[in-house]
Amino acid sequence: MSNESGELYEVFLQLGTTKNYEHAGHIHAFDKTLAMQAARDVYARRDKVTGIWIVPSKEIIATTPEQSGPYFDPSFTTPYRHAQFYTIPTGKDK
Amino acid sequence: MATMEKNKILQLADDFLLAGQRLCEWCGHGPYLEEDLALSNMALDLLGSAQEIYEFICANPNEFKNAGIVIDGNRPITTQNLAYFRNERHFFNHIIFELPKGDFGFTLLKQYILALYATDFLKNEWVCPLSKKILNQMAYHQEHCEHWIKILGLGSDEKNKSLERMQRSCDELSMYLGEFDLNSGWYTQFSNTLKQTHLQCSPKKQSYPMQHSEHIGFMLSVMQVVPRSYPSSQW
Repeated sequence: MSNESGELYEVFLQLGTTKNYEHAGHIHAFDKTLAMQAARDVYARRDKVTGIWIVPSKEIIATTPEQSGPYFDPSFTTPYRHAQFYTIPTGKDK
Repeated sequence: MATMEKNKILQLADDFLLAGQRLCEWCGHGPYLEEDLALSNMALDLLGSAQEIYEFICANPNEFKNAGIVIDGNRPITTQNLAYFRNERHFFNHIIFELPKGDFGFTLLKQYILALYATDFLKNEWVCPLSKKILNQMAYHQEHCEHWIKILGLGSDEKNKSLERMQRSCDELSMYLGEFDLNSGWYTQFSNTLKQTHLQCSPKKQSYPMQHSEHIGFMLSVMQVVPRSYPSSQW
């Protein structure tokens, strides 16, 4: 999506060194360096951000709404596929 | 610390304040959205740095007794009064930072010079508790401006004449660079960056017959009009 303001990038922020990267929005930029600086200027000036990931939007492979039926239906109408009848001991995951 | 050095600390604060004021003029006029935000962010950084140094000066009044602080109307020396109630003759900034904002390339070159000069000053001449925060900000400004200067300085003359415009900006700025110490490390770094582009800049060390250019009067009248019109206002 190249136009007057550059390529589109999706921005992910990490709010704490042990947290996951979360999607924050998108920016336009002309090259990778400017993209990272733009991501910082637009999204990382308020909260306590510890890391930024940016990805060119055209590199993201995403599902489409038409695929949601074939891809996602089976998981919640077929409970026999899951091991949800067993209790998982507490410990690692919280 | 010698009187000379005190003046230079006040000079740095004035540089930050006026450069920040000029950078604020880009708000809403940036080349595109993200760059507009970048320039506004840099302006806020500069104003914040100016405020911190003024607060340091106000907290140490005895050390700055002979620094030449004159506030109109014999008002007390506070951060607000240092910014809004001094006139042209009592601002000690380098002339280059009061110049009009110019085009994008002109602004970035000026901003780059300030970032390099401030980093050099805070690392070598005046290391203080404020330094770390300001140095982090200056490092970012330096990175941002350097990248753009290399892009614009390597531009071609065909489509948008970016190189021609950058060269014109360099020529104009070099008239005012003579006020700095051109043997210092920061200027070497500046020249090295320019060497990686097609730009030429050859200032000469000189003394200037005037303290300020014609531009500071207009800028201060805009910057100071509100507090001076309503001197007892609070916010």
